This record gives sequence, C-alpha cells and structure tokens, in this order.
Amino acid sequence: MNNLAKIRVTSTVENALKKLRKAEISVYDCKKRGADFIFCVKDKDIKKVFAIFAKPCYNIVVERESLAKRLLSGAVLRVGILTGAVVFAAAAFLSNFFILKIEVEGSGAYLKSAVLQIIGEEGAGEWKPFSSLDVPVASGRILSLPGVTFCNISKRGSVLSVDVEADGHANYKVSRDNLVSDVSGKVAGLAAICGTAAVSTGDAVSVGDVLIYAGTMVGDKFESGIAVGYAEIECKKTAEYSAPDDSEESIRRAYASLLLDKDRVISRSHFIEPSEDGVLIIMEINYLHKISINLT
Amino acid sequence: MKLLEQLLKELGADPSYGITLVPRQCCYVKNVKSVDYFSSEEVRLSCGGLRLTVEGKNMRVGQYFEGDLMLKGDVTGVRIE
Repeated sequence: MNNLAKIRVTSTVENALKKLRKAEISVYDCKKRGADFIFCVKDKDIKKVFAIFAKPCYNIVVERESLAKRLLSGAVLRVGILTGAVVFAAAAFLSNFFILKIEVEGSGAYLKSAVLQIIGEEGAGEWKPFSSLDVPVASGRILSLPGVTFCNISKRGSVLSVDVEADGHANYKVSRDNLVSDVSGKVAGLAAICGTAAVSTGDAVSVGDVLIYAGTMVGDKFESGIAVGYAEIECKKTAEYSAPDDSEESIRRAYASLLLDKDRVISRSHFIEPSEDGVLIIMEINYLHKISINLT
Repeated sequence: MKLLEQLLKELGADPSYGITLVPRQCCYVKNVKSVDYFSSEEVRLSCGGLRLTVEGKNMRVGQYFEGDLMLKGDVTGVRIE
C-alpha cells in the first residue's frame, strides 16, 4: 500500500498496540527494533497516532511518509521546475501551430526568392499560423514558375518546408574552362556568346587548340570569366572496311562503321580494292563536327 | 469455506474466534483483545477467555485492526492455554 506512513515510537509493542487498537487505528507491518516499536498507518490516521502518543511524552517520529505524500511534498518543493516544464511543454505544443521558419529545398532552391514571395502572398510567414497558408493555390503558383516540375509544401514541426524540383536546367553546372578542340580540321563556323574567340573561320586547328577563351581582355589585362558558345570544325577522315563483296549492303555497313552519329556529313566518297578475303572499301569523308561549351 | 462454516455450526462453535495458520508464513487470529507480549520469536495474545502463544522466527505484525491480527514470518506453532 502506497498511502502508509512509517512511524517509530519508543514504547513497548504491547502498550502501543493496545492504544492503537483502542483508538481503532489500523496498523500494518509492525516490528520491534530495540526499545522502539515501528509500525505503519494510513496517512489519514497520522494525526490520531500523534494524539495518542502525545501523552505522556512518547518519543514519536514519522520515519517515512507515504509515497503519495512524498510525491506531493516533492512537487510542492519543485513547483518552479514543474511550472517551467509545463510552460515549456505548452510553448512546444503551441509553437507547432505556427511557422517559425520557412525552408525551400530541392533542385529548385535557386528559385527561393520567388517561392518565398508566393508563400508570403498566400498567407504564410514567420510567426503566422500554418492554417493561414492557402497550400493548393501556393503550390499551383510555384508550379507555374519556369522550369518547376514538382512542388510539395509540408509542415515539419514549426518549419514550413517547400520542396521544389526543377528540370535539368537547374542541375546544369557552369564550366569555367576554355572551349578546346577535340578534333583536327578547319574551322567552319564559330559563335562566342561569352568569352573571347581564339580562332576565326577558315583557321586550321588541331586537337587541344583553344577555340574560345573563358575570359575577356580588358585593356592589357585578361579578366577570367566563362566561355559560352560553339564551333563547327570541318574534318576529313579516311577509313578502311573489309567486306566479302562490293555490294550495296557492304558499302552501307562500311559507312555505318564510321559512327558519325552527331556529326553532319558534307561529302563522302569511296573506292574498292580487292583483298585476300573479298574487298577493301576505302572511304574518304568530309564532315562537320560541332562542339560547344555552357550551352544546353 | 462452506464446509468449515457447516462444521463450526454443527459443533456449536463461535465463528468469531478462529485461527488460520499457514506454516512458516503467517498466522491470522480473530478477536484479539490484546497483545500481551511481542518479540520476533514469540507473541502472546489474549482472545476473549483464551491465551494464545504464537511461536516462530522473524515474526512481525502484518496488520492489526479491530481485533483481527495478522502475524507474518516463519510461524512454527500456536499454543492455546
């Protein structure tokens, strides 16, 4: 039983029990310890017990209060801590209904300012309740931003999280390198939108030559920046292909083996020489090879 | 319990006087008027006209209220005088 207080009285067991019985007090867990008699009574009987043993001057003490009383005393002593805990819990609970922070995440985070503006116009803001935000309208407006493919507005504690995903453009990383030729040939065309053109149309270039510098000359000083543009290089290629015969199919296969999928063929010619296994198709091809930098 | 009540009735015994003994665990005595002597090895009780002596080891009063007394401990015997 939790509502029992433990009492120690300097008395004989016999006398003490006699008095307690006479007062109709229920006693529990009685034992003798030296000259003391130790017993337990219910909280409500403590006053009665002290009244019984008050005369003639029994040495009586409460050794241990009941659990309920100890808890109550502890709570009274720690009223400040308990109040603080209650206030904190209440504040934590209430803060759940308000927006304390807005986060824009995802690949469309670069649109943060536009997203925050929309969110604000649709009723959300710091220290404003979540319920004030018109989520469907805000989502719709964010989705109408250029490049946005996905939008999800969710509540995470007291944080309003806006997940915005944009298309590949958002993941594009700007290169700060020069545009360098990866083939040898003659420049057929060049457009330097940003940066400085290093060659002109008609110039011969080799593999590794710079076509557009990532930067501009300002006076005598070269200011680095980015290169944006493309170049078309006319290339010449000679290749051989062994075939069993000189049929149309063999010639088609021979040209297909050149793997010029992205390059534009300007002219092509071939001639056939007999070989030990059949024929050798020797092809000469002129094509335009296009390379670009920081263009999608 | 019904059998006990029937036997007591047939014997004409007063059911308000009774001793229940669980060897080596506890002893429950009804209608205790006073505890005349108490030690952890021996407890002497007055129950109406009877004097009971409960013997054992490590005995303590588990509960005592309105004449009902529960002695807990290694109770080895009860003697009636």
